[in-house]
Amino acid sequence: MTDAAQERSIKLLSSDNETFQVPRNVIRLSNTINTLLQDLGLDDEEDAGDAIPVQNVTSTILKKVIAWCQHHHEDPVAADDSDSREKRTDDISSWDVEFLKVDQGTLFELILAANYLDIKGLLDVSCKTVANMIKGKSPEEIRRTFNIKNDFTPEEEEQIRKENAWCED
Amino acid sequence: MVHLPYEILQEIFKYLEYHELRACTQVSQHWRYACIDDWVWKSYFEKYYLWFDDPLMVAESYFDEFCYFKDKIPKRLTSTIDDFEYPTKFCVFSNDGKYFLVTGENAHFCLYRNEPLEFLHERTVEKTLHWIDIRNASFSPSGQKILLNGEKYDGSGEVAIFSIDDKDEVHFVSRVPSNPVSFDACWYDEKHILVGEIHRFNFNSPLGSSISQIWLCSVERITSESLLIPIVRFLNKSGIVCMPLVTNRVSPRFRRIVQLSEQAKQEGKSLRDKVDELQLNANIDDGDVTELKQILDKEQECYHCYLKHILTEEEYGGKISCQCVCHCESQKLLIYVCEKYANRVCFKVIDQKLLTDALSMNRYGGEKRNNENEEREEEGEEEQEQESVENLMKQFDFQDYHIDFSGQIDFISLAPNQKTLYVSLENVDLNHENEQTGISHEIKIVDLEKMIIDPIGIRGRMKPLQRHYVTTNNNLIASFTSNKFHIWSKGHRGPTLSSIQTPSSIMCTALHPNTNTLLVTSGTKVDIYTP
Repeated sequence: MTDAAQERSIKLLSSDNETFQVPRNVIRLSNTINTLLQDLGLDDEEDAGDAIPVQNVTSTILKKVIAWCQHHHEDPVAADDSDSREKRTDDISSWDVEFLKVDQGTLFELILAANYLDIKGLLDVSCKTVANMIKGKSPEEIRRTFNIKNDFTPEEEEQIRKENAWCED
Repeated sequence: MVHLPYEILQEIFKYLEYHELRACTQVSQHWRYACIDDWVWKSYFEKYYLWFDDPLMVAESYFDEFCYFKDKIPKRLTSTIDDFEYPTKFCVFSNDGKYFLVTGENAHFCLYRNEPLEFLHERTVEKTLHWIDIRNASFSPSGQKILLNGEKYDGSGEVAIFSIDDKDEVHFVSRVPSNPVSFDACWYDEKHILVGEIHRFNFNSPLGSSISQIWLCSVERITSESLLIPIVRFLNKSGIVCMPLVTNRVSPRFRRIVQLSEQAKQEGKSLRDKVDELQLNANIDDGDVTELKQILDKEQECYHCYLKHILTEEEYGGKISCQCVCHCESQKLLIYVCEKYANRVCFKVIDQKLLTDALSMNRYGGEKRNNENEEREEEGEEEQEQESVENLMKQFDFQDYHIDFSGQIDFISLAPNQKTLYVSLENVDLNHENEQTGISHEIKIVDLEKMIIDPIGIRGRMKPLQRHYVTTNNNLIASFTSNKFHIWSKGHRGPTLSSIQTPSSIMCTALHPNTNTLLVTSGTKVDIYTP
């Protein structure tokens, strides 16, 4: 990537039609946008041209996503062996902990946006946050935490009860 | 609330532990289906086992499979038999799991029915047979007879056979000497056992230190001498032949290799020549091992026959009887341990010819000797000497194959399907400078289809004990250290599934063939652990 390209900025259009100006090397954290720019050959163009529509993400969420990328765009690139690594959830940086202190709806929307834009770091850290909310809870407590309705039929309830009859305490 | 799709839920599930995931399966339908997905649980298999995309063994999904090996293993102490008046020692289940036998000090043994648990019989053979100890015991293939290996007051070994009648009463059948004591006689089939005899040389010979003679012995009437038939004889270089086991299965590949090497010997060629011939005839490239293996596995047997070889009767769905050439001969595989440090497992195929020759007392060149003497007169002295060594060596059998281990073998045991051999051995731990740092205990798995040590194996080094047994059923492997027993998954291998502490020092463990019940003898009792 040339210096000129790094200084360039990209326009993103949220689902509610708000336009965001993002530096090219900040939005590189999104694999989706990256691939799109490369595939369309837009990286070589001087002018950023039209805004890229990000249909599934609202302006509130997109703003937060960009803020996260702003903070993390200079992080060293993690080696791609994450699947074999120990799945820890207690290694979230304090900045991210503060960043993710949002209501549940926003947190879930952030996860969906991170997934759609394929921003691995943000997806990992937000999923870990949700995992921490599940840890140590009973099924009933999980339902209450996430406001989920118990929609099992009596037959399914019976099967689950049987399945767990000999479950390790 | 915002609805999270499966893929996102699964991203979150990656960070959860087993119990947390179990909780997630009980939240809602959406969560349940996301959670019991194979994708989620395959990653758990990778995490817990030495996992290489193993097929499912007991369940239909990876979720159920994982839960099975987590929960349905012996871990709860459900009953204890504590009315023994002596310390308990060995324990073993019959092959069908109907009975189990417990031995104790002063040559006591007790027979129990397993389900429902019922005491059937107790006796001591200390006075009647002059035994100081029952070393171990095994049930006959049908489970109606019991073989006891014992040590007599004079230090010699003896085998006693008892039968269990229709009313579950135990009767003495016969007894026969078997030496050395450490030989430990085994069942050959329902009516015969293999016992040992040792002849130690009282002079130094470059050929060896002793001769081990293995006798085929009828259990019905051992008093008559004619029913003791010498079947194989080995020349011991150092150490002695011991711990025999007999399986009815000889893997097609191994049988073919033994056949080829016999042909090669007769034709004065090497095994390599025969393999080259085979490759040439089958028109496969030199070095194409995969195709060669396929040919070795399949040659001389029809497809149905091949299926019968690799399946059990249950899997095949009917009785396995076949007129094909590969079934004309009844073949058995004798497995035994030998060498100075008991670090070698040997394999010898006992085929129909060997058995017929043995039964007609025709082994070791009985008839041929006269003809050879006539021919010999015409030959020069040097050749005579050469020939006399050859003739001497004809008096002995040699293993068809052997596998060497890095430590001393304490015990070998067969899987119920006879396709796997478990070898329990004591290893000397060496550091990077090859200095001895200690001794540890390990269980190695030998694949009897391929005749190799399983390269993946189970993990876990145990502190060494004087005694070691490994017990298996279709799904699990169990062994013990002084006051802990350990369970592994047979198919998924890797580290232990569980290690459970017991109040007193363990003498022996036995796994039920079907139900994952584990017997543990310790102190003056037997503990029964169930899922």
